Amino acid sequence: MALPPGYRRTPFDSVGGTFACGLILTVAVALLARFLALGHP
Amino acid sequence: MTDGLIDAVLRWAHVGGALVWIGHNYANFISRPHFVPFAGEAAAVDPSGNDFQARLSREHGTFRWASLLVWCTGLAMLWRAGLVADALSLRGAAVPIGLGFWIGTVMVLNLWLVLWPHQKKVLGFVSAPLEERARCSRVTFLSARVNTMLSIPLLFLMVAGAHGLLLD
Repeated sequence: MALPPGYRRTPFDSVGGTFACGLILTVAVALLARFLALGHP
Repeated sequence: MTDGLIDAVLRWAHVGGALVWIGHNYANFISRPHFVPFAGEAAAVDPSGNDFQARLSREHGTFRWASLLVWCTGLAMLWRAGLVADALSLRGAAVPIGLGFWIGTVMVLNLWLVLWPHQKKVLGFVSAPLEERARCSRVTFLSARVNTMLSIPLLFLMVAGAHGLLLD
């Protein structure tokens, strides 16, 4: 797979990498939401 | 009765628009799992000419405008529930849907301000040299993938927010 000059491969170049990033971000925002909501019924 | 009907229509339009927009993104994700370098004029322009361009324009216009419908109906639902301030400032029980709102906003901006200007060159709606179109095809690929990735936590937050999953 030839990339245009100046561009590198990223995790988004594979289906698994994209899903993995999405799942990691999901866990991160879920923890953030839980933290932000602490003490607010 | 009227309030309930308005809420139902807003939610219906919100979910329907999201299916059109993110469905298009997922269809592209599945049909083109890897980056395919731009292959030149022949890849973007069909012999049928204007008809093909018109269909491409309609397809891309549909999911682009669907994204705005999703954003506007989401904001309208928050406003009707009296949650705009809490959601946007990430306070209390509105935190999950507030985070979802901000992620969705990034996705809409990514679509309109990053993907679309480059996609216009790739598809030939705006003339550009072949090298520039090849570069733009990489930008559109990455931009679309960023939205695919962001849709995963966004969908989770939409569900979590509606069911209080994160606040028990």
